[in-house]
Amino acid sequence: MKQQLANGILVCIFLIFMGCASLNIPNMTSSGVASLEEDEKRLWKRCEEEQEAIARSGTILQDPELSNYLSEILNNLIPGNIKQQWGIKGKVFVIKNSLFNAFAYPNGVIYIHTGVLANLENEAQLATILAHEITHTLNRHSLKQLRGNINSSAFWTTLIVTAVSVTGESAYADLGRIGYMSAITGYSRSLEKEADTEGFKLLLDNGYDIQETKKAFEIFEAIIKDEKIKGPFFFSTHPRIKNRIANFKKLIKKENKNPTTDSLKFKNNEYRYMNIIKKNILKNVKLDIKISHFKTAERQLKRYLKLEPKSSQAYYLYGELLLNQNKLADAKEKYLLAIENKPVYPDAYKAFGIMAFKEKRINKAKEHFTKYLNRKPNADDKDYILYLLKKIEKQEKKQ
Amino acid sequence: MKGKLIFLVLFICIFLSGCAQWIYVEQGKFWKNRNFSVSLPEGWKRAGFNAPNNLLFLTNDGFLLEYIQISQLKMDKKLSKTKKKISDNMLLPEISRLIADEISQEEFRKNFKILSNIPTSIDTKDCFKINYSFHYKTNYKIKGILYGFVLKRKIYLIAYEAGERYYFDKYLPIFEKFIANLEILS
Repeated sequence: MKQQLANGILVCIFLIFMGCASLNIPNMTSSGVASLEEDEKRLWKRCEEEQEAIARSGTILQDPELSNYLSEILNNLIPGNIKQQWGIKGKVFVIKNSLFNAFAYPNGVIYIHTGVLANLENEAQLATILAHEITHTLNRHSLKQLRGNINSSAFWTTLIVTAVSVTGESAYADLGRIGYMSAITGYSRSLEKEADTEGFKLLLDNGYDIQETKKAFEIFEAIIKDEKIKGPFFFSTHPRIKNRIANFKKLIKKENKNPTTDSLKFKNNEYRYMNIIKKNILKNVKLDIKISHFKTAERQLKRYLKLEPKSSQAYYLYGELLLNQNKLADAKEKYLLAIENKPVYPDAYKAFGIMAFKEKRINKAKEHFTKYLNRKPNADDKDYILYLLKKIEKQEKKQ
Repeated sequence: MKGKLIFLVLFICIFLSGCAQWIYVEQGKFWKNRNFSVSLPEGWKRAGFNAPNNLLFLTNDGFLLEYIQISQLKMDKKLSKTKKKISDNMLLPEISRLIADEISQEEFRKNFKILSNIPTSIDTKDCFKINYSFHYKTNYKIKGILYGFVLKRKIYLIAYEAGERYYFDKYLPIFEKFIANLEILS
């Protein structure tokens, strides 16, 4: 206990001195010397520990092709040899989550949700998000925010950390946490605006069609409106999305870009993007249906069906989506399309079986369930289908 | 599920105020309400305070290590995570999938995995049984079993969750005995 108290006092002294820490931190792009400051090193170390925990958590999508593609886009956005000079990781990991979020750690590791990837339309829009996020790293926003927090509330922070150390938790460890949490929960509005503006320059330097910057945010705006999302991380502490769109419009205007002619001159790489992303769209649709984000799921399905107009899985999921909204007749139509496009596709038969069972058409239900099990003998829900078939048998005996 | 969180918050509040009520379960002790009767595991502790939707909460070493809980959900009420309702015409496989989706969406359950989801019965009542695992705060692995069935327009859930290492296997026979002894009265 005495040791813990002593630790607490040490941290107090440290923080009081930290209270005078300089906020004059040069950006990586403008700093003459590529050297991390002491508190910044601790921040990075804490980030690496957190990243290891995320890697173990099972939430990362295992898709090397996609990860390589995303990391390639990111590394192209990082100017010159800053990556090597500062030891920035320059890696992007995808989190299996249909909510709209992306965040960068100070060491240049970016996490992006499947929900973002599945809703964006092309590489230029993706680059908009990555450029914004990597600007937080390049401009050392976590360190700035950390020192800003300490300067503005050194006294209260001191008290909190002392309390933490007395309870036996590592006070030093939580110092780092104060810094990197801003990477996830958002930075101040001025730093977010800076990330938008400087990220925009990175897009220009890489020849992306800058008209897509505002389109990316218009997509998110539509999703927020459709699903009545009150505060997704990516926007909750960022400037209001309308302001951000307006800001991008201003930036585009300043560059005097002509939307009709410039779209031809500058790249958006839609084809490449969709080809790599498309296999994850249906996975994300499932996640969206799970949490009742029906309009967003439908928009993704429509886009997917444009690319793969004969996808039975997409039609089946469309049926599930409509069934969840009690649109029975429409759902049946989609299930039929799933079977028409691939008669051996099993899941639509199960859906028809359940519908027939509920409508007390037990012969039809039996027929569909049998077809389902014939096509998918090791289905995860095989026991439930056998359970329903037993019920049908009982009813047949009664008749 | 929301009920469980409220229950935990309530528990902490009561515990901190120094009024925590844990009732030591003596040999041959039964718990009974209008719908159920069950003999309680001897030597365990039963929460002596009520929380919304929680009917019975038992632990031996502490609720972060293992617990058994009976809770209830009203039908036609939106579930907090999936925003979906369980309706009268839903079949057992549909209900089980919806409940599995709901618990998988709780933020504290990281790396949630369904190990199995099968139909079974408790005291002749058809029910589902979901075996699952997850990480609590990324490093503490927990395994769980959840039974559920519909009775009088309510969903009853009987959960057993315990740390995967040591606790889950240790108390699994007690939970199985608990389920085997559970009588549905109505």
